[in-house]
Amino acid sequence: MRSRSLVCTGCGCLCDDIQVQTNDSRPILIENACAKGAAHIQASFNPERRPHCTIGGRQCGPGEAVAEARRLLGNSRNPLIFGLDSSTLSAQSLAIALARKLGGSIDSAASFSYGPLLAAMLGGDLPACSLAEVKDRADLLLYWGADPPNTHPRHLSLHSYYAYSEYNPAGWYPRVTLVCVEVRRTELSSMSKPAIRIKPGEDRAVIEAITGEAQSQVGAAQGLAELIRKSHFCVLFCGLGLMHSLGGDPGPLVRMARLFAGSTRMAVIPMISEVNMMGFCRLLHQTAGQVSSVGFKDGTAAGREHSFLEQVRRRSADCVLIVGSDPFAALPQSVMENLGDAKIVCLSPLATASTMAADVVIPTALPGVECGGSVLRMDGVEVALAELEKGAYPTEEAVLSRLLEIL
Amino acid sequence: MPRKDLQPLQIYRLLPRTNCKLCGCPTCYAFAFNLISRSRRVEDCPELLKDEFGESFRALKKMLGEGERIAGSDHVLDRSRCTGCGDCVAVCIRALTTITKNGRLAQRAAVPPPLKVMDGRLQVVEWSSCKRAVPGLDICNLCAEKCPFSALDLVKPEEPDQEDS
Repeated sequence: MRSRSLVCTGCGCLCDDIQVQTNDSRPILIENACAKGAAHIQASFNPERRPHCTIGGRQCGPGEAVAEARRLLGNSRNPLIFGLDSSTLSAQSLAIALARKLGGSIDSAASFSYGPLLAAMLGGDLPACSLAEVKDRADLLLYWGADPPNTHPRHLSLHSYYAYSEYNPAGWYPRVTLVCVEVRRTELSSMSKPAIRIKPGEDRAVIEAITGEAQSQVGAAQGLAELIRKSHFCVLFCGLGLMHSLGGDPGPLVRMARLFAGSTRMAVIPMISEVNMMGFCRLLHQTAGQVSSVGFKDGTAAGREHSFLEQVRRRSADCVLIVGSDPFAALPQSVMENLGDAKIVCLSPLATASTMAADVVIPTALPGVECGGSVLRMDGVEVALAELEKGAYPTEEAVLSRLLEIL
Repeated sequence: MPRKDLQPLQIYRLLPRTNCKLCGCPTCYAFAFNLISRSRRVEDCPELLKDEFGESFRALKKMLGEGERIAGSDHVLDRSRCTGCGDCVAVCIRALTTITKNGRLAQRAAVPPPLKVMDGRLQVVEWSSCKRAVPGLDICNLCAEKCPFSALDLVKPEEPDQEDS
């Protein structure tokens, strides 16, 4: 029996204090990981959760599957690469290079979730901070449209409210105020003081009332503005609830951050659930100047027409390479039905709805358990993943570089 | 969600009150005490499993929750609700280091943490470190209080049978 330290890749928290005791290369005891993380680590050792290497449902070897994937992508007029939110930075760079070589489009789930917010952050319009700073200095934690006890179980205990550090030994007890803005009663709202409940879709009106843009006053706005003004360092954890309510427009948040910039320090951290969405958006921003929905057909172009959703709706993509993502489970069936005629190649470490729908499935190693690499956490800090046990599957990097080589 | 202010008489009123001793307790009132301290389960009463007591059975299950006592501690954990978030562990580490001495806060010698998350669920690994296990220290229930899912409950130490009877 031996003990190994691991970084959990079960959610966007990337908890780095996991201890795994293994016996005969199988985990027998996982310490400190939440139920989600423990299940994620165990999944890689469960043969039923792993996909088979298949072409059209027929089992085959990885070499044959890669050759078939090459044929489908090579013959495609409008290839599309989607996913990469859970891949390592090196796999993401290779995928971008592959999209460029193919002259196709590349997109991730950021295009219909945090993309606009990340673009504002990477463009310097929204102030950011690291989770270590949150632990040390923040005195107002504002969760808006997010419910970390359910989505990021260890976020409060490891990174924010209950976390403590050398500079903050008393932690949550006297100093930190936890505020939640939500449309419904959640586990977080029951522990927040105050828990501000707003009507669905009212988020923009509340922010505009805070910034003074709105004509009418919203009840919650005044108290919230007062709390932020009195704080020394306010961190806004922006959830998907807020992003969807704002229709993906971070403008009101930018204006609110500017308003308080003179009186207090305010930073924004997106509550990203995926392991490395931040990394992919940053890489794409460096390469193409946009965080998502980039096309390389005629030079480099970005826009709505290159997004995964738009291409699926218009049925313009004839071959889709899905890497480490599961759009068939995440998106409505009515949308995904449009992919009926397209060829789907799926690189996935786990068996998902997308591997069931794919024409070619290539199983890959699970990052953080079967292979190492680097990823960017929700606050933009690079985290190095450890490898627990080298598995029988090739890494995403190996498959993508092979495709890049032979295409 | 289990109720935290349970009284033995409330439980006793829902029991068959036959003192049949089939559960292993001398009286139904003693069984009520054992239910509150989670050293017995509602299913241990064979009378309650009959159809005529169906309503009482359901009411008792609702009052007591699905939690099971972790052996050798005061902790009652509902494993189906626990997500292993570690909030209880974090607040416990903080609470452990301070004690009230003559009405003032004082530092306590470092002790190993009593709680740990293992395989995604809470475990009591060092009960002797818990403030509740040390006589003379103030009663602490922070871990149960801060559980976002109300999965954790704390009960009094098991009462001796003669007191129950």
